[in-house]
Amino acid sequence: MVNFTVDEIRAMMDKKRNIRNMSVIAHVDHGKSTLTDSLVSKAGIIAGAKAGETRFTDTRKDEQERCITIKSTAISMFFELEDKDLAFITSTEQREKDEKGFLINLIDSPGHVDFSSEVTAALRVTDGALVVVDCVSGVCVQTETVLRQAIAERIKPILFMNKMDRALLELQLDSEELYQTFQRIVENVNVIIATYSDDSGPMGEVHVDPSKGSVGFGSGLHGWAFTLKQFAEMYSEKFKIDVKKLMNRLWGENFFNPKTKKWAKQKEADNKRSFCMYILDPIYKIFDTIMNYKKDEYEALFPKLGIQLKHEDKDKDGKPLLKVVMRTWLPAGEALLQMIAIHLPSPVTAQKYRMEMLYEGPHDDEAAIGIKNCDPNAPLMMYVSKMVPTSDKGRFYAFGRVFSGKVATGMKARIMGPNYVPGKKEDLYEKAIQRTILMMGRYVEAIEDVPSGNICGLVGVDQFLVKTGTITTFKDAHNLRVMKFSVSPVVRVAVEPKNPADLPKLVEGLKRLAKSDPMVQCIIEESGEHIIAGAGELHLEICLKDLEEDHACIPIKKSDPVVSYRETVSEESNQMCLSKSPNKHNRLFMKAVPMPEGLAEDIDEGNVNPRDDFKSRARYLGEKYDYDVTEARKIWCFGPDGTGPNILVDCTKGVQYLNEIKDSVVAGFQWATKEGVLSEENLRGVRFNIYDVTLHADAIHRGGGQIIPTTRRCLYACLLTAAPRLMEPVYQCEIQCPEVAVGGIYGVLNRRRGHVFEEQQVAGTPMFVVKAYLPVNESFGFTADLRSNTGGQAFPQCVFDHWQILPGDPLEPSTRPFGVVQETRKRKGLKEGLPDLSQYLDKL
Amino acid sequence: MYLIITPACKRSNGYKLSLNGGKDSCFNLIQCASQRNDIVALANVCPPNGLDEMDSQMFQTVGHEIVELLAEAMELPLYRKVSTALALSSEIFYNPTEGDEVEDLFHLLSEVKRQHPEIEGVSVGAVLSTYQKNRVENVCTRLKLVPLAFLWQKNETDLLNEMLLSGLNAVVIKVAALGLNPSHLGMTLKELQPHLLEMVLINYI
Repeated sequence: MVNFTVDEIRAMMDKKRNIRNMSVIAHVDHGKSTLTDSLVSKAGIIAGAKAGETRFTDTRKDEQERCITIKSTAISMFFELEDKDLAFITSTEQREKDEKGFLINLIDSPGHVDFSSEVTAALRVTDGALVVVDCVSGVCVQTETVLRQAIAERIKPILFMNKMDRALLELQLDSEELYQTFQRIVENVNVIIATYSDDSGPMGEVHVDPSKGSVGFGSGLHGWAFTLKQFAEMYSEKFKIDVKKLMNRLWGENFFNPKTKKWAKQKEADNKRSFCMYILDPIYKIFDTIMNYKKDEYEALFPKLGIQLKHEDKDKDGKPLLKVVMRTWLPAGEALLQMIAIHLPSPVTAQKYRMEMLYEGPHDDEAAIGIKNCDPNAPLMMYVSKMVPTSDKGRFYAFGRVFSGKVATGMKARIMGPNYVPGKKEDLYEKAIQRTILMMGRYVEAIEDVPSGNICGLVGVDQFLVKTGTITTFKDAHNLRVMKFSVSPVVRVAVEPKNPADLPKLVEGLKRLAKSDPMVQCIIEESGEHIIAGAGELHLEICLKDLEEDHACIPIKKSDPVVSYRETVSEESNQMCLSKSPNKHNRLFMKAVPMPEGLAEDIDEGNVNPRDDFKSRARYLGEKYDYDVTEARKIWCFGPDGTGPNILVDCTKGVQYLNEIKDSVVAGFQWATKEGVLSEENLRGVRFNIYDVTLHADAIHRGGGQIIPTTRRCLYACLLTAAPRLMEPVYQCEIQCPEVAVGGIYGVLNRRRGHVFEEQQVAGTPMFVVKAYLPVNESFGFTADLRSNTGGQAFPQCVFDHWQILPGDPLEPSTRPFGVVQETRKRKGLKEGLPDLSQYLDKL
Repeated sequence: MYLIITPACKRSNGYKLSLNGGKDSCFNLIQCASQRNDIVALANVCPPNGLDEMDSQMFQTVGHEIVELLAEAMELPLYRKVSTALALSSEIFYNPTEGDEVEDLFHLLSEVKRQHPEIEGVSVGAVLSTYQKNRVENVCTRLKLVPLAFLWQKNETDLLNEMLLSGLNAVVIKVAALGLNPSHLGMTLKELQPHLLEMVLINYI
């Protein structure tokens, strides 16, 4: 631990090239928080004497009890590189001259998929990510999800293979097998990285490479770790080879023959893989001698390896001794911190290529240039990525990253919410920042100001922002782009207070809950029900617990969880749908068509989006989906919310005044796509074509009041005549278990309409991985069911994957979708029964 | 609904007045009267029997039954013409076209003029519709009459206020715009005023 005063920390903040903002990401239970502990115990900056507590970053009581991370937590660390290590940093933008110390801001994030939104928020404020992979389980679904997100945000990854102790002690792999396992994980990770970026992109080299030192190995639990650099340093004198060259030799197809002292590129009878010989063999030897109590042998070994034990540790044996020895020989903190300082980008490097991803405004205005140069003297640009509850109930710290300028206590700034549009007043406040603070794990410290490239908290901003926002001093600044979550809030419950008089407390509590979690949605239905929507069962469970105990502080009744559905169509409308405006002077003629397969997903992922150049978008749609290019050029808008997976296409020819009503039609389209005709759920995968429009010659008779409701009615008629269908969300479920339990998994999945699409053994282990699709609606109680049917040996990880049509016609009573529609309508307080086509369709 | 009101007495400036629409027509009529015009007769283009609502671009058709009662109450002669025609010339300026619904108005007013040669003007309740104003003007010019539209281009919020202050009591019998729904039917203008003002605020109307 490093004991720093706030002034000393503040001085470090100015040395922007020596700052590393990083997050730790991994699959659940791969050991992030434990690994983080070993870093914190080595270099954590603490202002008090709270050292030594385990899982420093798990600040909540339930986190400690459940042993999972729920909220992401930031901590700052300070670390000095030695001169010989500084040589590894070649870029002038990666360190200040004459400064050896590095300020590392680390965010430990949850690994459970239900809390992916926390990861998203963490990634936004960092530039690099330490990807932790359990070398026994390999790359898992959540590893892939978060890694993909990291690459999309232009976050540079480094890799750490954790739990090596398990590989050695439990699986007893021999050294060549272990090398192969490592090699496979590195390849898997690089495949994911290569899918979403390439080394010629703006970030430069992204893939991880052990021989460059960007891959670490070790055990977070035992507190030891190494990269090839550590071993290369040990051997470089002996071999008289430069450290960097030796690192290349220690990985991959490099074999050494100890008799002839020759290197070879191929495996031959009497040579051995260098990685196994020089790195794994000594480690194996230590494990073997200590675990088998060969006291004489290991005691002879220690001086050779330069291990000096403390007096009190000499009497230990077995596992405790092993821990001490490994920790002394290969201290985890040292290896990891070197990796972080050498391989992760400084804000100066990272903001150069991240600016265009972050900033919505023109790329050459003052704010953009300030971000690009990470300039502390430019106008302030700060992104608030999440709200952290304070000890004072109901108030929050706004947590975020300063990208340009300085944020200071008492300064006046513009606080812009996600709906702010430059030039308008909406979602904009000009207020003074009450206080800037440093957030370190469980503790906060007030600080005078924070310059660009750093992470900090703000007091007093929570009243003006719901969850996220941009804070700036530049009058013409645009927003920093809002975060895109990889999971959607598809599971919802209705809540009500046990005692009706507590309703105001519940409403206030829901407001606070919505603030404290980056993704949870709190909605009031027309029926007056309060709905909480989250990513999964666990997420909701935590949210409800927080609501009950921290935010509302009242006993709460909750309904069974329900999922949200989407409405879509399966055929083209069977007739041209006409709707007349209320004053009968205007007519719209339209049809609905289902989108070709894949287009809705393309829109979700932003491959097709409203900001594209319309010509290139039309070409893309023409090539990939056979759309008529002239029509595809006339996509009026996407919806709902201007970006959703439904489109409105102008297929008219020569209609007068058409442009004047465009805004009104678009407004009607947004309305209808947000609240579909069947049960007011969002629409998905529907293309609407406008074929003809007749308008009154006088503008006063074709205003929004006439056109908006007509558009909505016409779209509803289109939907009802195009064989409407419901879509339900489906999880991709990854289940790890021993072979004996596989049968039980199939049974549970079958009962729950799930189907397995992949089953394979994890290479080098007796574990099986079963991958299946499972409707979210069937997932409630799935984990418990699975455990009881497999003797507790199977653990599922479910992540939202896609939408799938719920078979059956919702307009046909007795079908399943019909039942769902009726239930939803009832819940929302809509009229029961089916929507009546004649209400929406007019006759000529 | 077109009410043609003609001066009953020659003492005044001697205008004959035509009114367009329910409350606007009536209010314009009141304005005409207060300007010392005499109202001679009412005229109204109405839909064929049994049809309540037509897609006319010119004439209000809902509630046309009331016009008779109005005439009775005012003790004035009422002239009506059944129209089945639609708008043929639908541009913003009107070119006289045989068979257009506007020609029905022309025939109706010519008839009124023949019966009451003293008429000089027609009261029109148009506020913002250039389309309707142009057509009434066209018909009037051809008949050498003067259209009187006191409400033309008035601020809608002020107009609503003036109407209510004048004591005019109107009941909503048809809704035809976003923000208004069947639950508003049967309400008086006064009851509806707060809602209408709110709608203006959020730009619905």
